[in-house]
Amino acid sequence: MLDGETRWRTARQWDPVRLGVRPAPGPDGTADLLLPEYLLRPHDETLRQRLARTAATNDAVFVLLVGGSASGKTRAVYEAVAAILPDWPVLHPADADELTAADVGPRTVLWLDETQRYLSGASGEKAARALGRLLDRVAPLAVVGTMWPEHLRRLTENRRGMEDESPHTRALLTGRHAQITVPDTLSGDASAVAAAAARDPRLAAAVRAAGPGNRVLQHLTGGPELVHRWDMGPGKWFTAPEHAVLTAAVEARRLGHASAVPAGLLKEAAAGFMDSTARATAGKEWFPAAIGALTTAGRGPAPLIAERHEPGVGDPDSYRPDDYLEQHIRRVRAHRAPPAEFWTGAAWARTADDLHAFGRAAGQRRRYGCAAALYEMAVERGHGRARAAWTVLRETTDGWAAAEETAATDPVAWAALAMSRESGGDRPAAYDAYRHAAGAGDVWAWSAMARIREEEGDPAAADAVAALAAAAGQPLAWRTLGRMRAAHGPAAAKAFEQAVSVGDGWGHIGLAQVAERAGDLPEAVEHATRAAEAGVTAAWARLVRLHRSLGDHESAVAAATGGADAKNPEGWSLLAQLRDADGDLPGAEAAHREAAALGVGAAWRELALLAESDGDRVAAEEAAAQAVRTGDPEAWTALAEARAKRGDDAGAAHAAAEAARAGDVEAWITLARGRERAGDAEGAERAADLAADRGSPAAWAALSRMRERAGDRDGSRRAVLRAAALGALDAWTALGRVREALDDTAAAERAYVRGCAAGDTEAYAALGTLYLEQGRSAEACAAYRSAVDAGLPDAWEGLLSALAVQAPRATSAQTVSRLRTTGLPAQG
Amino acid sequence: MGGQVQPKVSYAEQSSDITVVRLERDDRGSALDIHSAPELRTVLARLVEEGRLILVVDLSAIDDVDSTGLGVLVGGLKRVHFKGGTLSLVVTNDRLRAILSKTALTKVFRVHDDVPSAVATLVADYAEEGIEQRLAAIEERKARKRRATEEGIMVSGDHTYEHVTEDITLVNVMSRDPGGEISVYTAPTLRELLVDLINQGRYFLVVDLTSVELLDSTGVGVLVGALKRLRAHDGTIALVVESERALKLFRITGLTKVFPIFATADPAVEFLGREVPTAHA
Repeated sequence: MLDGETRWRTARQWDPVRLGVRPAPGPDGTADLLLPEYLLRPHDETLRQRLARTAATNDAVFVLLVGGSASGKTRAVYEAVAAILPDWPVLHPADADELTAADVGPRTVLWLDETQRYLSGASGEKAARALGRLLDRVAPLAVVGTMWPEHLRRLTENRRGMEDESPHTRALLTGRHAQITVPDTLSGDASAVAAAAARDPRLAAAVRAAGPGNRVLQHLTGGPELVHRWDMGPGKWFTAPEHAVLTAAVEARRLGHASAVPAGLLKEAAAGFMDSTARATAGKEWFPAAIGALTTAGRGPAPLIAERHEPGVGDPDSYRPDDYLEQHIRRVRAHRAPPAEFWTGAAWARTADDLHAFGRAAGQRRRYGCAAALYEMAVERGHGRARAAWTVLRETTDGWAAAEETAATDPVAWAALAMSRESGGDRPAAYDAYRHAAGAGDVWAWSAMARIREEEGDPAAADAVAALAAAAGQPLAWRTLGRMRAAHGPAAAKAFEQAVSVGDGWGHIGLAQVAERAGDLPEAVEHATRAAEAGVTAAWARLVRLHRSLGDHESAVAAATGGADAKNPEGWSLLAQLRDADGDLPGAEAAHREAAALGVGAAWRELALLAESDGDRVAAEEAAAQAVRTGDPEAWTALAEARAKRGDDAGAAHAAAEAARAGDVEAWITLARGRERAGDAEGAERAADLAADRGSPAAWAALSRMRERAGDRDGSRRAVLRAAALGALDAWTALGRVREALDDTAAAERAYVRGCAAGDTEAYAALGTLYLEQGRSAEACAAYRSAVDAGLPDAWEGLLSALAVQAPRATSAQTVSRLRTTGLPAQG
Repeated sequence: MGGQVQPKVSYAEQSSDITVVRLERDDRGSALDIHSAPELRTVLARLVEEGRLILVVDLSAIDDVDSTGLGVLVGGLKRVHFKGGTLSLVVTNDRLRAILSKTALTKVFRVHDDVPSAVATLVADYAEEGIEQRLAAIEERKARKRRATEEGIMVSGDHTYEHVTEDITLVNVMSRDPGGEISVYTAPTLRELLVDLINQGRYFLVVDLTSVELLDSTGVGVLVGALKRLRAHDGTIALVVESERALKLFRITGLTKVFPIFATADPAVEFLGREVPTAHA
């Protein structure tokens, strides 16, 4: 619980370090200094405006700052809250449970630094729900959080083949918040940085160390020193066990462990990162000794942070690596698979999700044996979709019988097996698996079975399947057949009628479509009307179009209104488009306004473009601004594109700046390309810098490719270096592909090698292809193997072909076919 | 208008098919602008009426152009293009070239340095693909669009879409570009359609790229951007890619890692059907 004293502290009364702001050690290593001077960057303005609006409108807001490690997220929030909400108390719950239990009143700042800590796992789901309730009920309220993009991706990822176990967290993180991207560079105002550096020796040292990459903030807070120590290797700064534990902790996180890594996993996996001498000489108490040393903060931050995930108070049981160090180790080990001990240790993973993630990581790296074991454990721990992955894997390693046994009665597993067989070209086996899936309750399997029969040219058998499905209450198969038979009206109509006969309103839509194709619009209207009456809201838009084709404008409007009443705005949007195409601009505008009133944010974009083409810039910008208020900056982007197309560079730049302010940098990237194309290299670089200030290096990367194509080697090189320094790992690889397309393979190879060094795993696969084409099969093997170890599924076939051509090993063909089914051995 | 400097427009038939329209300069320099453009428009319209469809407009005497002038040039191109013809430009002035390039019209017009090279290129082009063939291709494109409408499929910009269930929409991506390219120039219409659909509450999209030959980084950006928007609503995208060649390309651009990819639309629909949380059809 939060005690009374900490409860009412304002931001300035808190020790910023306790709120998660990193202290900056002095150049001589002295700690306990004041925070360095704060340098404003573009995102600060966005953040402050958002908080000010919350206070002014009595609103509740959840602002999430997303950016890499040590990019100054927490400091930005701290400074913004202190400046904008100086008298609001700042509440700082320690974990998800405290957050769930927190009693939060209005005019409070809820401080959720490293927000993923509150939202992971089962208690995280509870916390997300509690947070959602708070945002609904308490106002004004400012919830502020910070997160790495990786964590955001993980928490919001709609993972294929996986059940959604955290709907509230995802809803929160994908919908109900204002997201602000924080670049991990300090490139805003160079003169301000220089001036501040002149006042603060710590900043001066950091600026010097950061060089052209502008990673000043990271250097400020001591991360680089940690990286340097780890880079020395085992037995230098860190003892061999310490180095191994640290590496194992990062590996666990890299390969999918969501929360801090359990001690058991670390202990077992760490052995794999020690050589035989180190293992023999480490001593009995090697593990506690290593943990003790790693969790102690020396002059800088501690490399390992202890946490407790078991209930109750007591010794720590899990450990999280320092984030700056973690990012570094992730990059340098990106192309390496962990040792066999790691996969055994992986069994200690905290949740079924973690096990499943490890299983997937092993499978992607073609460690089939490890993957199967991990999936099996995930199934035992109740993971919803692990069985599907396990089944498909077993089909490869142990054949169809084993796979079918594994699928058991799980419809998801049977469907996955069927899809995998179908994409492998084995239709009869796929049909069989679909049949099992349908039997186990998979609705869509019926459609697949009917489709396969129809594709085989046996419509009678397809009808039989659809009839069976309909008898089981599933009209989908009839609709699928209707769609497949669209070219032949009567046959299609028959299928749709069958769907209608089992009460499927969508069958009427199909019939309307058949009638429309046959040119019988009144008949189509009739069917579409029935569909609408049956509750198919998509029918209203169709009615809008049909009535208009019949010249009945009044009924078209009525249909649009009918759709609106059924909460489907498509009819109005469509009517607007049709009126626009007929040259009825006022009518189009009115219809777009109706759609906008129904919550279609994109209607504001259309209104903006309409006004713009009418020459009314003020109205256009007003509409774009309105679109931003509905949460979408796309209207500004479209406006920027329209203006750039007309050659109005100043107007386009203004629109792009507005789009970027609202969170969409796409327009700056487009503008950078447009200016470069028009020969304005300087203007292009200015636009690219503005995109970079908002966190996107993509414009610089695009410039490097454009210049390469135009033959400007120097300009290309400058741009790719800039992109890479800004954090675009893939910039070199993309440039390499351009060079390859220009037939400059030597230069392409150099670019790929740079890409590999930057930690872009794709570069290894590209290099493998390049080597293989040149007949350098040994080098191709090495490159492909790194790509496979990095978890690129597409590189696997490349590795096998490289192995197959490797002369003069007579056994390689056999080796290849064995590898195909068994994968690589766990030991890399 | 008495004191205005006006270029004189003259034309000569180069061969049985090609006509060169020349804008003359007078001693105070010359601009193709609001004052002089109408004469060019009249000449072009008359030529097209007479069946002269392969045109070269020689602007080597011109040193400036305003939006009206550009409008007349684009209008002339549209006019002949519809009938299987084309319109090339001859430009020697740097400023003019810069204006054309800035307004992206260099992408629309073939621009040459002198009349002989323009004529030679056109002769070669039309030897390869004559007016009739071009007309047929244009008709085919129009017919495809008309077919889509007649088939009861919605048309939006270049693309078509069809709601398959309460949740799933099938988007057929067409490219206006003759090379089947979704690029910087053609991507915005796709983005706008996808954003519109998402705005209308369609959260499960099958994006059929069968007619697409090439997707540059802007095109990829549009798909990834749409996926981001969809995730906010628990939705997702499946792609349909038919040819091995296109698939290889998508692999390189990293799309295979982000999107489930299918060879035909129906399995993609079935896949998304299983992803819909409520699983009602």
